[in-house]
Amino acid sequence: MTALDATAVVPARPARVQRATRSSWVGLVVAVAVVGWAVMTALGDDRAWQLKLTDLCVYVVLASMWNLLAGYTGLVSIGQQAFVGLGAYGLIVFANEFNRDIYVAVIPAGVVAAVIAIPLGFLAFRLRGAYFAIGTWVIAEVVRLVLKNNTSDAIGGGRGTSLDVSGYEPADRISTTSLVAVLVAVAAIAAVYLVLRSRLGLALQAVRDNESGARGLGTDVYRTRFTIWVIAAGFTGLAGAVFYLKQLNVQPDAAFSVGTWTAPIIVMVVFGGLGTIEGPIIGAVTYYLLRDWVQDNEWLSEPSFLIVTGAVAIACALFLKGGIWGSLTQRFPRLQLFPVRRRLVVEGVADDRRGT
Amino acid sequence: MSWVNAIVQGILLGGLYAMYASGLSVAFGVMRLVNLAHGDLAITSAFLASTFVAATSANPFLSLAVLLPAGFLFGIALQKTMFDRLVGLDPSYQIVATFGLSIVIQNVLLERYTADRRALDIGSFGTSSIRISDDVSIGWFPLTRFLVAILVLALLSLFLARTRSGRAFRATSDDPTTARLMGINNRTVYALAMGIAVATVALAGVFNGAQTNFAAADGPLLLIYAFEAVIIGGLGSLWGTLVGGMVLGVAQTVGAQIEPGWTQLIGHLVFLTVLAVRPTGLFGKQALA
Repeated sequence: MTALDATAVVPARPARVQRATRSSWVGLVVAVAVVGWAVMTALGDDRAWQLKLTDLCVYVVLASMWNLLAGYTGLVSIGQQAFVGLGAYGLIVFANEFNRDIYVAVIPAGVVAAVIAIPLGFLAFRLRGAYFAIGTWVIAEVVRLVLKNNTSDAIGGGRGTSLDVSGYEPADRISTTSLVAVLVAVAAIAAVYLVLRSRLGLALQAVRDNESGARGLGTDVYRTRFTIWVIAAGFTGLAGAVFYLKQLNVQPDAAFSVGTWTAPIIVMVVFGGLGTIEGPIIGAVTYYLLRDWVQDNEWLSEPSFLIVTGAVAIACALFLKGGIWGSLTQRFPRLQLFPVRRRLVVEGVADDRRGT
Repeated sequence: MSWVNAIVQGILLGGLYAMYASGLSVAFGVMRLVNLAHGDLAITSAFLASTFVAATSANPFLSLAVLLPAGFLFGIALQKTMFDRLVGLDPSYQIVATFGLSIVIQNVLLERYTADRRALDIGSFGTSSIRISDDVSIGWFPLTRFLVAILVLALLSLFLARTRSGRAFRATSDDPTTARLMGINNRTVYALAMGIAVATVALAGVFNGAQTNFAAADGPLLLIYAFEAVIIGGLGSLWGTLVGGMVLGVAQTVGAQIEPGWTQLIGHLVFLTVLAVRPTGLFGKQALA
């Protein structure tokens, strides 16, 4: 039978596109339970857990956004710390200088990061592959150095500046901050999910799987990638703002540090699974809990822990390309907590057990 | 320091950046691989030189007798064990793997040598200079470093243009599949290229360590300088890289002359300007890969 015959036969049979699988219903239940637990924790009295929850949510957002960029558009950035720092400074400037409520100031901070991402993107997008990666790194350095050389009262040069929280009761602030963190994390994951299910998401996955093919079918590759770059920058800025809502003091060298931000994020994502929604979440939670545990038990020195994480990144890139989640879904093709894939189910045709 | 002097020092500094960049260029040219741990290897070399000096109390440059062949062999080993698996893969995996390597090297250095800054003492060679005029003087060390950089680039281009292996390099760079059909073993070419890349960066690392103090976390900055020199000069042009390095060096020394905090910033801004106005670089012909 020729290929032409095959295409002529298939539409004659009743076919439907399947998206949700049984595991995605389980996923929904798990997601509701986790968010419910997080909200209860944020509203509760355990301040130590609320601080941890805030960090955890920040990492989940950062990892999800880095993955949206790298895993779905192939744009590997080593400069996402630029937007973490911009979110941090945005928060403090809006709260301190414009006398906004500190929680409300998180939103314009994210907007600032997204808006600044546009001109920075025009520059970075002139480079491809590894040179794009180093280019974003240089751009993040430029943002750091510009803020470091700005010695105005609002920015504070190399010493940095602090969020004015004089009107807020500390215990209350820790609790509300963790609630904001949970909200931002839920919004970020929802955004990734909606983007991937949308037309834009289809275009993205088409570009990732076959760039020239997608171009041939009329996908505006540059525009698709650029939109994702800006979305990722915005949410990364929100995460930065939330982190410094907890941290209060911001210094340019720390806020724009590749080692503090982008390096662990990359490890989280490749460990959890690049190019999946679930992977970065799993990676971020695993990384955070492991680091917490190692630090509490003084099990390994900080450099030794980082050596292990670097080795994990190498191992994942060489031998475990889909990370943990990728190898699970390879074994169980119907496993997906977030139904973003489309499978064509044709009556009478054996299920080839492959997702598309 | 006058403006003229700043420019002269910047040009001499550019030689060092070109030395860093040449290894990056060769590896990218031959196998489209960018090693993000490039700068960390330079810092490793500088630390090893300091260990050599501590053990023998000899001149730091004598350590090159060990470090150059060691770097060459290490490059081959790195290629055989790790990078060969990355060639031809999606760039994401190359970036993640070599970035992971960079994290590993930095933290191994941190464990072994602590976070303290070190310097290689080259005695009066580091301070003596030729006076040109009241304002301008050229140090013997920066001059030597510049000449060594030119020598490295000249040897590399002679190697690429004249030798049998060099022809294999260029053939593999242009079309790896056809090169293999013509009997070139790509793996051998890749290993040789990475050996050369690591040996040149080991050389640059010792020269950097003799000029300024260094610490375990400095590698990424050196990688960025090398990258900027490559892009300003234009991909695929070795002598363009030298000009790119000099442009970057002059931007930095002139920036420092305006305001000490602006050294790096002005360098980065000149790089971004070139990227915005002439993305193929000053001498590059091909589109950016």
